Amino acid sequence: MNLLFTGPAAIVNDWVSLCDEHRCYVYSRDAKRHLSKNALHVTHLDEVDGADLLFNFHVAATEKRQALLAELIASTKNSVPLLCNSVAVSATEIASWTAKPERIIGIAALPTLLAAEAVEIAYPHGSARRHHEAVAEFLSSIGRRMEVVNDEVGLVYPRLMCMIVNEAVLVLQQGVANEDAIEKSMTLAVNYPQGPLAWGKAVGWKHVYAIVKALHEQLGDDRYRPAPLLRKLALTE
Amino acid sequence: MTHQTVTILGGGAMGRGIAIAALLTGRSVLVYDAFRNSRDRAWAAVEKILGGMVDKGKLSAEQRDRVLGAFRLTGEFHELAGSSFVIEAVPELMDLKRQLFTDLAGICPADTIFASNTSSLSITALSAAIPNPERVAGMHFFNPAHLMKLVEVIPGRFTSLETLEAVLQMAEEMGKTAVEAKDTPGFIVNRIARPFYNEALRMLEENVADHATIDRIVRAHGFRMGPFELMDFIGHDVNYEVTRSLYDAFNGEPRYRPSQIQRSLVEAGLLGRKTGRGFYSYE
Repeated sequence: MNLLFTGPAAIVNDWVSLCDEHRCYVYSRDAKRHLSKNALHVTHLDEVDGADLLFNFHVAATEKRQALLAELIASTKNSVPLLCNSVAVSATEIASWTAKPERIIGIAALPTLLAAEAVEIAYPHGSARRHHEAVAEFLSSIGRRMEVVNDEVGLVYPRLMCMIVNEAVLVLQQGVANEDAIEKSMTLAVNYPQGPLAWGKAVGWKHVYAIVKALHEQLGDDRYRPAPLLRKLALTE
Repeated sequence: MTHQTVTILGGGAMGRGIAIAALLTGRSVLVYDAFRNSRDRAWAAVEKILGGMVDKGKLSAEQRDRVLGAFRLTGEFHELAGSSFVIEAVPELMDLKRQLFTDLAGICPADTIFASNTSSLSITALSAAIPNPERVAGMHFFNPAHLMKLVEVIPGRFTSLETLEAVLQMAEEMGKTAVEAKDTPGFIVNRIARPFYNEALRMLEENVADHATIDRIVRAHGFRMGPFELMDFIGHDVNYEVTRSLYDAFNGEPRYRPSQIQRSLVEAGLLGRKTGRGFYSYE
């Protein structure tokens, strides 16, 4: 398959490494961008020889991202689905930006997430789910199981982990325990595969902050207010 | 070795586990439990666990006999007189724990260490009414206490440095990794782990996914159990109570708000594995 990736290098490179059986194009205007060696870097979309699947891994809702999605949709065939990172913006909202909402599928994409054997996707509200088989088949080709969840910011695992990380950061900020104690506690007492602060660092504080903030804004519940220290970690990353 | 004998209050699952951990340091252990049935069960459980260690080659038969020879249970409170290191592992009732420590203070030296295995009560509140409150500290083990490596050590407002060091040293001699936590609700583990349950329940309430899908996704990321399997394993009554106690202790902080779904399971008596049904059926 021909795959076309857009978005932050930290996420795109994970995907390109895993998709080495496919032809991977990475579209970016930045000619100096650091890429995995099995990716073909393109600075114009007409250099892509017919993409079968499109990916956009940007996390936040920016005008630049909206413009990029419009460009991807206008420059590619109508039958090609566009998998968009919906960890901090719902698939429904992303679909509402575009002229072809039926092409949008939400996906959970963050650094390190691809280590799992399952990939979460979410269809926009009211979607006809036309591309279901094609996406499942593609994920299976890279050794990943597709898990479909209903469309909400954070999907399942990123939401769950970001809330644990937010609590761990609050515990750190309040001086309840130091970083070493937090990490040892959660791995030794409840067998977490890694400490929550290590997870936050690996995924990226700015991503964790973006997800918690989005949950706060979208769900309107004070339980999702980001820890003040989390914001600082994101700003100084 | 300091504190040749460790006194443990309560012969339940936690008390037994702590007893084994203390016995394996080469110390004598005296467990106090007012109920004969509890004492009998505790003896049988400790004997069985030590026997299992012999079967697995972790302990020789001679070592087991020596360890069992250093283990004693009593229902006579006066026998605790002269204890130098006490760990309480009685039910999570502030009045009960306070009363036991106050009574012990009357028959033990002023420098006897009083460690509490509480998972949720304030060490400062527990120690405030006890003579010489500087000898009281939190020492929170995890179940099964003889196997789980972590111990949270919690100094209260009155805890002296000597007490803190004695508790840390005891934990280390038991082969544990001791971490220090401030005396705040849920300490480290019960607080940071809360969203694992609460957020999963919230996603279920919002119909983001069903419980089996959420469990499958979480397991795919390296967790041994998903949140719903784990809540079924822990017991919904226990899990709901910890959440409720944190919610109260943090004055209604929305992050700890208990879930209606879990409350309904508790009200229905569907407590998880121990009743045969929770989110999953085990019948």
